[in-house]
Amino acid sequence: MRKVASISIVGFGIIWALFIVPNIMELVLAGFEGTGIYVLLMLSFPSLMRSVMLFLWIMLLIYPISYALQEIRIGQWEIMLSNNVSTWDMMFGMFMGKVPIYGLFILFATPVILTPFTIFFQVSILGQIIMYLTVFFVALSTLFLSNLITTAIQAKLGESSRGNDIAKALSMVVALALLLPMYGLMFFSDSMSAILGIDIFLIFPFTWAADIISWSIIIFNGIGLSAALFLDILKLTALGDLVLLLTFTLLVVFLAYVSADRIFSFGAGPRTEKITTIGEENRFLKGIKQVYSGPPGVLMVNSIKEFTRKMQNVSRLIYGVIIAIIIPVILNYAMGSIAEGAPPEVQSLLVMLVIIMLGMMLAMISGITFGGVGFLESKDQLWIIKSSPNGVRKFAKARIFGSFILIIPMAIIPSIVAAIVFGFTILETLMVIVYAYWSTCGAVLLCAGITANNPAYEDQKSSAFIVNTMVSLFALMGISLISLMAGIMIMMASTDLVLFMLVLSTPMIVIGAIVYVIGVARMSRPDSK
Amino acid sequence: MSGSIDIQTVGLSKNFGSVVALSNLDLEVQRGSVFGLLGPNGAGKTTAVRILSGLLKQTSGNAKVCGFDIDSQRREIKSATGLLPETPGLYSKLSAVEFLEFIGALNDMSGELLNRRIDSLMELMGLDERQNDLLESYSSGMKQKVLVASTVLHEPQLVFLDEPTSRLDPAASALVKEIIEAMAKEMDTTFFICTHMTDFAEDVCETIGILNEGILNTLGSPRDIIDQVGAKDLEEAYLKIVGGQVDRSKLLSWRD
Repeated sequence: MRKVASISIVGFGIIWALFIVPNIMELVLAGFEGTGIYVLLMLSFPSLMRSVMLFLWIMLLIYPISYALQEIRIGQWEIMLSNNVSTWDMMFGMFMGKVPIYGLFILFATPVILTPFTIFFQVSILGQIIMYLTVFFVALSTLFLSNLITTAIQAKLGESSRGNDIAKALSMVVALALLLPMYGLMFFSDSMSAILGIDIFLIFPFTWAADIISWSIIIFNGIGLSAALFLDILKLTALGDLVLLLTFTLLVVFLAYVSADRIFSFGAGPRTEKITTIGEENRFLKGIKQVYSGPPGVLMVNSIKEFTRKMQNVSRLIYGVIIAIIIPVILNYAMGSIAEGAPPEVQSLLVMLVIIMLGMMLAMISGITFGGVGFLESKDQLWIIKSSPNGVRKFAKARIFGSFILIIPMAIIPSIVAAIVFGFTILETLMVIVYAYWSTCGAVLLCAGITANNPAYEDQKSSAFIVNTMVSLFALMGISLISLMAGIMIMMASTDLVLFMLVLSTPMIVIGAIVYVIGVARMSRPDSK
Repeated sequence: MSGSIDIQTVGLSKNFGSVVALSNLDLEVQRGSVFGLLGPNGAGKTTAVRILSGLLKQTSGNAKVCGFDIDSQRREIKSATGLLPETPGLYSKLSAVEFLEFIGALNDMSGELLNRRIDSLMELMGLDERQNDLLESYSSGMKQKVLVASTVLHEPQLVFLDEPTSRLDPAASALVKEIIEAMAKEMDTTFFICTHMTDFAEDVCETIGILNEGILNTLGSPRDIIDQVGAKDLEEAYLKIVGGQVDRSKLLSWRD
């Protein structure tokens, strides 16, 4: 059955590449005939190709690393290594294991990327073969590089609860670590190129691959394009790009080969290298215990401690706050030209839109972090909690109230940034803070209720986690949308901003509380299977 | 041992789909006694413990634990009992003290009493010098000691221990044995221990039940069971009852 399915998918992929996509693209391009799109394609295809290959390169580099870091499983390596499997075989085998699924992605995506150019430029069969082979080669080499990086990180971290925690935190930031420099590069490429005396993008493998594809189009085109026109743009010849790409790939393979033994010489991981001793409780936590005296205070404080000591939780929250801070800054910049000269109502609407997006972003990240993956670590922990009287209710209450406390700075910081960017009054700033806080608390309740109903624990690869995340995101977006429509109707009737914010944020709290109560009640019940 | 009964089951059964995990368990455990439930992997020991501690619903039958009905009085059962699960989930990002505070608070304990108990238990377990280190840096034996401490922290009337010595070295196992015996004798605490360590069971338990494929087919004191099957010790008796004795002539037959 599996063989039949595999062959069918690959067969469909080939039909997709050779017949379906070309026919669709021909119809689409026919619609643009005689328009400026044609001229645009002719002039900008080298840049377009570089952008597309950059995207593909980042996807194939980041996603496998991020996915693998969500759970470190090196116990299996120990079994293989103890059975006389060579480290190089393991490295290569792990790479080969990833090829089918990513290969399928490339098989279906590449025709969509390349066909518009092959049709428009009437590229010969030989040229098309070179283009497709280049994409596949770059995909494979990037995947190999990604596999090497992933293996090295996993071996270094080791399989321990601390190693897993660091890995999950890294899986959140690895995307930022690669994307931010890339975006910086795009903005500062001109000045860096002027300083270095070369086009800065020429140092990257994705550029060499993109330029090989561009050269294939130029050399094998059927519309009379001259290669001389493009040498100034592309800087290097096709041969030069090919040599660079091949050299880079061979270097990576060579590096993997010589370092395989070292990479797979993993130790016991961070567990034995670092022992963390806890100091005295800080005043903030002592203050919580004073306000909530007795067992509830102890539960809440220990819940806060446990949550904030996990790097994966903190990195996720920082990621959310950064995004929430960036939104008003970027949108204010982007909207600047739109807002100038527009009526005041439009400007107010745009500002409101930004605030709503800020609230939604905080709600989603906080909901998924506090109420989703950070809610309960394992089924084994649940047994311990359930074995005490009303244990689940007490635990959930402590978790939720602890989350409400931790959300305070998360709501305040982006709101203050938005206030500075848009020049809000103190009252307006307070309203934004209350709105952001209130809707985020509602999101946490909602997501906690969904998780309590179908616990996924910290296994981010389980189907329960995927289902919970999807349901949480759709529920959050759905409730936000309905609240927004209700809020707009209120605004049309009366321009009371306070009322608008209240209507915008309250449904999330109400629905969240109901889902939470139901979820916790279900979690408290004894298992029947 | 007082005369009252802390565990009484009548026809207790549990099916997971077509798999019969527990079949018509009829059992009585006296207060202040130490009862051991032996059996091979998959015999139904953990299932029995989970039902009796109120974590799992039975398919049929009934039981009373510390005088409370397992169907309608789960909350009361949880107040009166302590549980050490087979695969417990520790909070790796809490220190031992913080984890015990957490468990104490779940059982409505706090303040000076809780703090004193935690300090005493940590000293007893030999972990007082590491009590403020995160549990992620503890060895599995040390973690198991913390878990044993967490189970008795709130002075339960009945304690369920599922494989309590599986990760412990001999010295630590001896310590757990002493704690069990002292609590049973001095405080009339009942212990219900699931284990497949026959020597531990033989030393500690007054009554032993042997569970095999969900059926309790042997019940009695260790001596009675040993005499019943004509064995020299409990391990031999156990192997005779559940099977699993090794045919030495076939040990290396896989090499042919």
